[in-house]
Formats: sequence, C-alpha cells, structure tokens
Amino acid sequence: MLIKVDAGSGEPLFAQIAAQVRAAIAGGRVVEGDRLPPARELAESLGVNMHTVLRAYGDLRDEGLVDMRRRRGVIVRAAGDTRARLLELARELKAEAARQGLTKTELRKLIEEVGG
Amino acid sequence: MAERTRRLLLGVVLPIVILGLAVLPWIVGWGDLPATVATHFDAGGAADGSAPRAVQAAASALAGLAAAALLARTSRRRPDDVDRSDLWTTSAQAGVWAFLGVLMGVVSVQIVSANHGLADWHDARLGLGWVVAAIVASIGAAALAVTIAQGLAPETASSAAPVAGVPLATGERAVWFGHARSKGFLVGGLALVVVAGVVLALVGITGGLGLTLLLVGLVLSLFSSVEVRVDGVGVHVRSGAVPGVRVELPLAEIVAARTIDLNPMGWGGWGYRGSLRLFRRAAWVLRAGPSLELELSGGRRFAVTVDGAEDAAALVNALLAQTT
Repeated sequence: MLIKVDAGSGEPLFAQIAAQVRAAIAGGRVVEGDRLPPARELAESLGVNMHTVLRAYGDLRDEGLVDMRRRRGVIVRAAGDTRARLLELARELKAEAARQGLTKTELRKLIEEVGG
Repeated sequence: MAERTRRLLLGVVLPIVILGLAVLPWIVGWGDLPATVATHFDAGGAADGSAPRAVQAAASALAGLAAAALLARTSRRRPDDVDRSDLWTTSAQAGVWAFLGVLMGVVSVQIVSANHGLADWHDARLGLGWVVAAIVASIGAAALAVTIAQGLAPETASSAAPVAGVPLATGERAVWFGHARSKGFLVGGLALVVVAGVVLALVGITGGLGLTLLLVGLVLSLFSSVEVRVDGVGVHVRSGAVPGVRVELPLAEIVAARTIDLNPMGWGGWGYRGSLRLFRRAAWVLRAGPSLELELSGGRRFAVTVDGAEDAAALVNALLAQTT
C-alpha cells in the first residue's frame, strides 16, 4: 500500500498516516493478517519521527483495526475492513455535523431516529 | 553485430565447428590408429581405459552431432516469440551446448592425437597441455555463445508495460510496501525441516542426508515470502522469512520501472534467479504473474514478483521524476 505525507498540509502527520492506513484497510488493499512495516522503517522512509508513526499505529489499535505486539509487529485484525469503513463514515458524519453546527446530543438523537 | 550475423554464427558456424572437431580428427587419422584406442587417462597422463576404434569414433560423432543440433536450435526462434526472460534461458542453453560440444570435440582431437601412430593403446600418453586446452577452449566457446545469444532478440518484443508515476507534489514524501507469498514453499520447506529433524535424530549427522534435507528445507522457507518497500532511498527487497536476506537498489541506480507478467519457467524456476553482476539480470521469483521490473544503470534488469506491482512501479517512476 501507498502512504504519502505532506508536511506542508495543515493536517498533523500522524493523522495523515493513520487516515491512509484506515482507508487501505477499508478498501481491502491490506487484509486480515497483513503486517504493517515496523514503525522505525516507515518513519525512515517517510522522513518523520518514529513517535509520529507510533502515534498513528496507536490510534489504529485503539480503533480496533490493528494488533500491536512486541516482536510480531503491527498486524491487521480480522474484520478490520468493515470496521474501518464504519469508522470512516462515523468520522465523516461527525465532521459534517460539526460543520452544520449540530451539538453532540442532537447528533446522537439523529442517529437514534434513523435506527428507530 | 546484426541479428542475421548472430543467427548465422549461433545456428551454422559454431555447430559446424563443433561437428568438425568431433568428426574430422577420426577421418584424418583413421589409418594410423590402432584397432583399440586409449580413451581414458590417469592423472599422470598414462592410458588406463580403452574402446574399439569404430565405437569411439561413432560415439564422438554422435555426441558432436547432438551438441551441434541443440546449439543450432537455440538460434531458431523468431524475435517476436522471445521475451526477455526467455532470452536469458536461450543464452544459458546456448552456453551449455557450446561448452559441451567444444569439450567433446577437443576430447576427440586429443584421443586421436594421443593414439596416432601407435600399435598398442597402452603406449598412449596425454599431456597436461591438452587438458588445459580443452577447458580453456570450451569455456571460451560457452562465453562466445552466451554473448552472441544475449543480443538475439530486439528488446521491443516483451510483455513489459510502462507505468505512469503517481502524482507527487513537491515536498511530499511517499512509501509503498507490498509482498508476495508462496504457501507451497513455506509448507514444503517446513515439512523438509521436520523430516530432516527426524532423520538427524534417527541416523545422526553421518551420511549427510539429514543435513542436506535441512539445508534444502531452510532455502525453501527462505523464499516463501518476499517483502518489497519503495521509498525516496530506493527499492528494498527482502525475504519475509529470514532476516538479513535482502537486495537494496538505490534510486540513483534505477532508470525506470514497469510491470511484467513473469514466467518462472523463463527464469529456470523459483527463488533468486540469475545474477546482476554476472548476467546483468536477476529475478526474485515466488510465483507466476505480475511483477515489478526495474531497469537499472548499465543495462541491468531486476524483477521481483509482488502483489500490487503496478502501484510499486508507479511510485518508483514518480520518485524518479521528483529527483530530476
């Protein structure tokens, strides 16, 4: 998979990396069991600090998309693709709601209405 | 050298030389040879093996004919059905047949000259010079045949597809990583390692069977997975199974990237084939199908089977465009 970073864009580097891995998982370009490159290598290749990559990987782990294990590296989890798609949609929804000035409670109500 | 000249040399001239070396000495020397000729010599050059004159002459002629025919065949393929990986096989074959043909030819010459004018084959002697001459001549012939065959096909006849670079803004950094895996290699390799363990436990290391199996098993597992990373430094290819086994190709040495449909048979099988230093082309082959091919400086080429080869080639080309 391809990961690009642009230091000139306003988005933090760790978020750029995480977003692209998330999109790759959602799009099925990396699948369950695939190993992401070690943080040190990815940092070297992209010319960023290793902690930037570790932060991106940490976010992906917290979202349940990857497993991080000492020695085994970062592995894409089962059903990561469907979860990543859901997360992407949720992120989009949250951003759009914020743009339209909806509060958190209003957004929650909206989702409940759709579900009902 | 023109295509026509190459085909003439490989298909006609070299085979005639080989056939001549195998047959002419017998025709010329026939009358002066004993009925039984010495055909084998010990390390000191004294004869220690023999065969009837007619049998040895017929065997030499047949062997020469076979080598000449097989060599001639390597020149027979039309340019449009030779792709680059096939070309490598063709030149390797040309080299082998030229080597064997000339070796057998020189052996004919030395047998006839060693037995010439003798009444009893036991008196035959072989000088060390002949052995050196045979080795030098056959290696020279092989090198000549490989060189001629290498230039056989125009490079346009291939399945290679150029890939446009992904847009890369200035200041943007990118990395691509991918892999290819072969389950057959991993399962086969591990199975061999287990069998080797059993053999070693039962028989011990005497006999070497256990160690051989272990070695083959380890080599198989070594090539069960390949990982490719493309970044601003270059292309990094390494074994996914065994740490430390890698090929590093700096961006400065890469001229262009494209995808090819790689045929393992054209490379003589799986694993690491060829040599960038010796043959100017090499491939890391795990399976058939889409592969990343890099054109390197000095006319060298490196291919590696990898899933998503097109994206890898696109990034290499984009990085190349960024540096110039």
